[in-house]
Amino acid sequence: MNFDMNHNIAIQLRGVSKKYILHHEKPTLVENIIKSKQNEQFWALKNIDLTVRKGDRVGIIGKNGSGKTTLLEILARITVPTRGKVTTSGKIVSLIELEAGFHPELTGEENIYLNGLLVGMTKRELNKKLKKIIAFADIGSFIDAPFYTYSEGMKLRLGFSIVVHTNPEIILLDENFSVGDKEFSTKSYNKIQEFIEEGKTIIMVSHRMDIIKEKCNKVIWLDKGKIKKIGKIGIVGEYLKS
Amino acid sequence: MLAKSRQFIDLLIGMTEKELKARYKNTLFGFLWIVLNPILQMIIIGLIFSFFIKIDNYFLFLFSGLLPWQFISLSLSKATPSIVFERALLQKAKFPIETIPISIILANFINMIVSFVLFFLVLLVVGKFSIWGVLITITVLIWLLVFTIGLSLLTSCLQVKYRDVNFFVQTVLILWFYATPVLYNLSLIPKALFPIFSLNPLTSIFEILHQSLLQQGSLDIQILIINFAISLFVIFIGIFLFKREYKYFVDWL
Repeated sequence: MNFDMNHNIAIQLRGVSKKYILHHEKPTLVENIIKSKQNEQFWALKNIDLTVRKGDRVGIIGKNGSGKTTLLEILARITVPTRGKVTTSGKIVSLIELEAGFHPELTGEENIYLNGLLVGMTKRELNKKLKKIIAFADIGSFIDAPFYTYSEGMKLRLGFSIVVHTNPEIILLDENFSVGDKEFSTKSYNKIQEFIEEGKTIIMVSHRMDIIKEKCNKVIWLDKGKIKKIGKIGIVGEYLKS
Repeated sequence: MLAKSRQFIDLLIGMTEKELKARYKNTLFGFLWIVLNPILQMIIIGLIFSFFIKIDNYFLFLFSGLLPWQFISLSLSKATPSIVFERALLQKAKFPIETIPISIILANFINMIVSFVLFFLVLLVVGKFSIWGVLITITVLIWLLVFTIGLSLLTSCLQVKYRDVNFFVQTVLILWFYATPVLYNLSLIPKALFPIFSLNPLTSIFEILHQSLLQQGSLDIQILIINFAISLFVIFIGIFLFKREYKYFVDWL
């Protein structure tokens, strides 16, 4: 962590750019050896400067392909920027791919351990939180049944329950977050509200402006990989008019 | 730092456990299959090749090579596409990605060790058991383990970028089987071919195993040194490439 970083700052991006190489088809090793062909490049993000304070709720808006998901992936440390510097303070958790990291043949409980370890918990931590995770997921006696018997809603609930019990300080939400049945979305939004009240930092990508307006205090409008506007919630109105 | 390595070890153990549990759940005989496979292979290959290849205790000889061969071939064919296969996982969270291929290899290694324990019981019955043999076997199996991890890091890493690597690995495995002293031993090979065998690190590994288990391997010190050097080189390249590339895996999936 940076020493000159203000302790009120959760995330800081300086000149962050991300370049992708476009492959129309996946390259093969043989092709690569035989001919060296020039690949097309594509800058998904260009020179992003951003400071997020602790407790901020930031909404990222913009058209498809404007770089929202790339920005989220960089913040989650799933991918690294081509240029620039990312500094974060506090445990980050992303509520994307909630159903990933489960094995269909294992029971719910076995899967809690597997999934919990993958999102950064230790075995000891999981032993302590196991009961809470099961209770929150509300999957009843299915906890001892193999995962392939679970309904979609149950899978999501379990994935969500594990992630929120990692005790995150920064929460990243994807636009597909609101999937799942009604009961699950109510429950998950209540939990997000709880996080907000606890003063945690939240970054969300969404096409649903009503949610952005309701939950966020800061908006970033991305356009073609650049920040077009950044500021108060009023930007949503400008975006909708554009 | 300490917390981080604790987390890494927990994760690696958890993933290996998953590999083992997932494999044996819902199979009637569970573990039996993993021993049955080399036994059946031993019987079939033994029946045919014993006409051409004259080696004492040919069936036991075959078994001592088929067990480690099964380990490396299963490990490579499953570990190579493993990172591509787990793409959703990579998009979910930041975690040490190398645990994906390594856990597969560790699970196979544990299977192999259990098979070897049964093999030692057989050796005890036929009067070929020695404690030195066990110690040398363990040492060589660790060499085999680390070499397999290094090679799998390399192939799984390349597979992310170049999707034909897995086909390449499958083909090489078939050829590699015949180029490794599993069906035969080095004493049946003309010395002129030794340079080729010195390029294959499995040569010494398998010949030392034949020696330590059945006292019938023929070891060539020159081959051993080159084999060992090549193993170290492969392990180094695997770790180096993986460390350099893992950050960009998500961009390729």
